[in-house]
Amino acid sequence: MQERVYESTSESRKRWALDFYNVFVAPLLIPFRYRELLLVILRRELTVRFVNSLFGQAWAVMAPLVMLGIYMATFSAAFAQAAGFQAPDALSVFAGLIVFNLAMEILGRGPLLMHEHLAFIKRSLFPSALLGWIAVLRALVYAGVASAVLVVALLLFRHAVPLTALFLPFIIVPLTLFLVGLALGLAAIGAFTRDLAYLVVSFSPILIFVTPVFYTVQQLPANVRMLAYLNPLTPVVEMVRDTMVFGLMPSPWLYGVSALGALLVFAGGNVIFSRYKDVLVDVI
Amino acid sequence: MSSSTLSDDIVIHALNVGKAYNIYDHYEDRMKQALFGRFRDFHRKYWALRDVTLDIRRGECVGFVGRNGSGKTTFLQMVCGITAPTTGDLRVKGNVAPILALGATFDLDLTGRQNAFVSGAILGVGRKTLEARMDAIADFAGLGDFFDQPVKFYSSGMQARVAFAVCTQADATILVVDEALAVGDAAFQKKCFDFIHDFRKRGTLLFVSHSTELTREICDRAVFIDRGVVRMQGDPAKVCAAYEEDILNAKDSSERFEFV
Repeated sequence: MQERVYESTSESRKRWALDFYNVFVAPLLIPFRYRELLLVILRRELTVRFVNSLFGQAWAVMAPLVMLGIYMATFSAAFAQAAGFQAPDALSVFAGLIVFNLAMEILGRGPLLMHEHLAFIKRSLFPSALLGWIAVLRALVYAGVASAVLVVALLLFRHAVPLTALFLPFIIVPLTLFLVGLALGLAAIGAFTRDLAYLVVSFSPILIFVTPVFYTVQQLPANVRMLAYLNPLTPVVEMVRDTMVFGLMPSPWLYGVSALGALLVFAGGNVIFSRYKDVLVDVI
Repeated sequence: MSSSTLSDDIVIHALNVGKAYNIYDHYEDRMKQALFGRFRDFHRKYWALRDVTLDIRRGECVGFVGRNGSGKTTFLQMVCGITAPTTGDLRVKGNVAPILALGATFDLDLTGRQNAFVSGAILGVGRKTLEARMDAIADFAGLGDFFDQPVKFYSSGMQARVAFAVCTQADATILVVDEALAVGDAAFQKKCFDFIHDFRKRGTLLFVSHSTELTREICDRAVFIDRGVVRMQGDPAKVCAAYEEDILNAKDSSERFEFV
């Protein structure tokens, strides 16, 4: 059997460098290296999420269904009677909300991620960077369930799902990297100070207004359209909605820029996390 | 110094290992340290361990004795790779299974079996292997039907049983046992010691206990740590005697915890 060799020397503690391998390659290898552990913990988190409730895992489907129902009722019925107001399409709002909720879960959970798994980090040999991946994958599972609800709703009300929906995986991959980077960066800073968690809680309600969920960027006045793209969620929400509901392919320019941005956030979050990993254990 | 200087026989090599924790008097000092730490220090240090030089050979059983807060657990945490040393060199060769706080990682809403699965995965046991060994784990824990009940209904002794049972089925070559057996009942403790005796034929054991009797019985070597410094090491009988004498003579004063 191959024996593990662990060393921490005065040399090795200084050796960590900002090279291509450490920034882009090593973080990507983590989920593959610990895939078995990843799956076990993910399953544990999925099991625990709705434990001690009568409906159990059915909530994963019911929560988005209830949400969809409310939006269908509000937008299709109530707004339709308001004169001069163009009601947003309920299914496109729902598609936007799936992405929005996914990001909000990571944003809210990120700063507390290390505190949440304190015992893992302080009492066992747990590869802490895996926490970011697990959090994102858990959120993706529920987003996936909600997307299935969306597909059913599309079939029911529109009798078709656009072919462009096949492009979805190409949006999800950079989005996953973006969220993992975000989660790890927030987790590292959040471990040092709880201020970040409080800050996120206080400003996150604004995000629903600055993210094009209830409107599209096209509906904005031309002079503020570019501002909307300062929000990294804007291109993702637009692309998911275009491909899933409207049957439009995302512009290559938008896709390219957002994928590049996602990669940078992924690298940045991982750099912050691995740089302070050893210190984090002693401060939380 | 190359990283392969470890002779085949030595599995744990510590050279002048020290661990300091930063102590902040005010919360805002943490922020100052993060921003201006390169110019000035905004904290005091507490040296939990200083200049520990220790070589542990394959198959050895080393017992650590010392009073609360003397640095025993800190050393074991560093061996496990949970926390990094501040100074010195540490090399560990082998698969470490830490039995630090039994059941600390358990999720109260999951059953003993589900938690055993998670703990096993953290120890690096693959899914299929774990499934195959689950019966042995259930058997060692000896909880019967309770094994499939949520852990929140367990007593601390029952949690410890599951946690220890998992460690017996991990492919560890170095077992780190920290005060873990104190919560079990006599029957379970006996089972654990049988396992430990058996394990010694295969692997290295690091053992912390406040019971000098146990240390004398199990260990080949004892290390007496006092205020973060190795005061004495060698024959368990002699080291334990020195430790016992020290407890008798020293009053339980707070002087031993000092920040610098």
